[in-house]
Amino acid sequence: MALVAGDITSALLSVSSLGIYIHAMFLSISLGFPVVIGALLFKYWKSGDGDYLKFAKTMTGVLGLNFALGAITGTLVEFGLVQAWPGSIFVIATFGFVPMTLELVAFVGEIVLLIWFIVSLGKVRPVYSVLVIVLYFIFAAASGVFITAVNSWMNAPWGTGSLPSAIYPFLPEYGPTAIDSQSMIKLKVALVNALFSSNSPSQLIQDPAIAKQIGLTLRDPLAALFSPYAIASALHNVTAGIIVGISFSLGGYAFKFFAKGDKKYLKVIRVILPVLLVLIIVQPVVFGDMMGKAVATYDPTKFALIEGAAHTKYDPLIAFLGYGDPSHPITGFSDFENATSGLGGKTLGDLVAAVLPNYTAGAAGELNLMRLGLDDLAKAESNMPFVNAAYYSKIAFGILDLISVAVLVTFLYRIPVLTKTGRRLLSPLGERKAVMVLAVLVVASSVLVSSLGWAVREVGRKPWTVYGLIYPDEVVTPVAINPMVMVAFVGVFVVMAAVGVYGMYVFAAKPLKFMELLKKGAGVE
Amino acid sequence: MNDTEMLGFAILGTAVILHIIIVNITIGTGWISAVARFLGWKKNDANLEIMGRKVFKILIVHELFSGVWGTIITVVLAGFFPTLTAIATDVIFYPILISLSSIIIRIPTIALFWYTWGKVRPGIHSAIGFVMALSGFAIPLGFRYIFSEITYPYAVGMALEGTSRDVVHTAVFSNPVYPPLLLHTWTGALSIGGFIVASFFAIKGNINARSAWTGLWHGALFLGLQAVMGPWYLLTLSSYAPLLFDNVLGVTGASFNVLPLFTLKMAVITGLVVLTAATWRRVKKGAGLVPRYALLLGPLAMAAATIGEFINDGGRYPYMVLLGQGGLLPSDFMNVYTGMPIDLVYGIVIALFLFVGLFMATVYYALNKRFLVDVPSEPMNDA
Repeated sequence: MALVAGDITSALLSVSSLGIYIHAMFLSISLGFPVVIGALLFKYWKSGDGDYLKFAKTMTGVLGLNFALGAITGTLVEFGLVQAWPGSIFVIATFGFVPMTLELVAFVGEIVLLIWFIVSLGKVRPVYSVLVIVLYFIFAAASGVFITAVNSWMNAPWGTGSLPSAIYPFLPEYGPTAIDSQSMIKLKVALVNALFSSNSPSQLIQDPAIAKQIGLTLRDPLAALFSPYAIASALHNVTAGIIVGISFSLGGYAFKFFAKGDKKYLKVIRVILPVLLVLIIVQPVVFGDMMGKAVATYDPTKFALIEGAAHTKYDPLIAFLGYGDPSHPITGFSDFENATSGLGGKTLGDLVAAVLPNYTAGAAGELNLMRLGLDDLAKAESNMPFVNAAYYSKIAFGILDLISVAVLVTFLYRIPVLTKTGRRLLSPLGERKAVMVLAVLVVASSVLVSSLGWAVREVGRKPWTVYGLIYPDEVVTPVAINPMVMVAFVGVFVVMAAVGVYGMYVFAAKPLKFMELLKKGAGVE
Repeated sequence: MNDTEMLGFAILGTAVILHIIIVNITIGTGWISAVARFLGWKKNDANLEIMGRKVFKILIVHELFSGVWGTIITVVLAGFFPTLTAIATDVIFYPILISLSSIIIRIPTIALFWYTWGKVRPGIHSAIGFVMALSGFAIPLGFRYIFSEITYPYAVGMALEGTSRDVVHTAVFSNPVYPPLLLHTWTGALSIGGFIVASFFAIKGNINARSAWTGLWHGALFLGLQAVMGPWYLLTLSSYAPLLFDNVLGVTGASFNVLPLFTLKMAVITGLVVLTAATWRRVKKGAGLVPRYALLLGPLAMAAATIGEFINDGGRYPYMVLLGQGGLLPSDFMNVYTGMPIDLVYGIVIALFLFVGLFMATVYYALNKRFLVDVPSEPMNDA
């Protein structure tokens, strides 16, 4: 038994989401831990307190194991992209080529610097170790920035100019045109014709003749890097990853403090907290604001889904946050539908004729653009309850995150009035339990904020894979995958991720038992 | 080939060769480390366990770097040769899935094997070691189908003739070039792993005759098996990829004569055999001394593999996919959708090679200067 086309798309969307979420967990640690390790080594350098070095070494071990898991899940996400969604090879060959190759350079740098850091830690002066971990972090962040640029292009296809709005009139222009409109139209027509004829659209790019027929599509290979959406996304996503990673380390040391009661663990938490507090304030105020404005401008249906705007409405606060203008209407699906209805009887063939006068569009030419637009809007609108609830849950957890960190700061630092009040309120719990409870709130809310944020980003762009241009069915694999094969693959992936997380716990928590055996064998004792 | 096609062909070839050199080291050392760890536990032999741990350090510092070159291959393929990549992800779907699943198992178990050493029961740890080692062999188990298909497009040919894709997806497993290629690959990795271990224990400050002996007999055994696998693969090429066969033997009319390289490979192997015999006599099954020249065993084995892979991949020039005495050119698969930013690509290649240099310095530092002196590793459980 094999899955049929539509089922494969649904199943692979779930598998891809799972892969990305698991990768994101490891990615967050790769981004957050070096910040903490760097801060600990800085404290060690300045104070000479050996505890900071020991903490840094433990975290480095966990970071090493985590990096292996992050690298492998990242590799799989990229492999998965071409394997499960071979149509995306076209994206990699065009808009994604420069960001992805730059990401590879960053990734190679990350690996080399991490290995260098691990083998030299404790054997070179702390200042050199700080320098290496800072360089590692820069490459890790750059890797995140470049790979986010590819995802951002799929959310806001920068460089496609007015092409998406020619099909969907409610969409904006996506920057100066960097594409060859004729080639892009040929590609779209070929994809639609393949869907109509029950062939696999993603197989189109297997044919060298069709590739040559489509021809040069992208004129500016750097287009994806310079989109305002990509810049906002990079800052927002990388910061989110750092916050989650730092929160994990906070949770780990809070647990140690809770379990053992040793005050030395509070020393680490005191190093972590100020960094975390600053990031949690900057994230919504600066980067979140940039992201919100980018979504409002370039993903109008996503913004309407977030705001639950089935109909156009007015909300000065949201309008100010989204558009910088309190009097701006929150455009709802009703207005998108009105704009789409304005297309009347216009067909894809009409659009093709305007760009390629002598081109035969075949069955795709009969496609009524108004019908297509209204159908797609209906599909997008069906996600409104989820996207709206997920977004506002995210905001609520963000507030909880900020409050939890702020209370923890007042609890562990001496701040006039606040510390006294905080300690009095939390006194029934006792110091150990209070720190633990607050840390759990920080970890849980950070993870939820990021996870829900990503869900809003991805579900909000549906029904398209490339916003306003390409559907998942147009890029999915033509292979009729046996469900058991898919279950087995996902099972292996999940089990290995779980085993890897357990390994990180074992490394951080369990004592070494083979030391004596090794010493004996090495002739040390 | 125009400049862009040549650049894509050269970058892909370089990435494949770099990847395969390092992968040979990690597959071979992974196996030896897992077996040493297991026997160390079963025989209650601390020396064997320490050997396993030390050998595993070789793998640790190489593995992620080899992995990233695998990713580079994917991006170069998709970026420069999207048509070929699209065909591969369809026709060779299941073999690639096998490799992906193996990678999923391989990298976490490597990290687990390292970080849980001495922290979980020896039986569990040995089991992790064997899963780690065997998953390493399973990666070429899938990926070598790609090489088989570009050498003799058995399933791709069926797809082009219009055979049902469901049939094609199964037929790919019957490519006749595959069995000798896979066994040649596995045997090579085991042989290289053995010789690398022998050289590793000949390094000043790390000399250990018993461990070097273990590596030496391992390398020698599988090098002996290569005397069967190599000719078998070559004979298979004569039937299914005559152009590559002719190029290897430099017959008249060869499209790219690699006979000088093939001769060089044979010379390197002869040198390796001579050096193995000389070391064998001196090391006396671990009871003797490790001669200084044993340091050359690993590099010679790697040189033979590098030349062999170049012959296998570059020997098809100017074609990318072979079809009997001809083939399909890179231009048939080249990215026509975008103008390649050539200056940027050169910049990226230079950056990658700078990192290769830094990586080699790191490996030297890790294995030769610092990493070896920390036996046993410092306990870090008190933090």
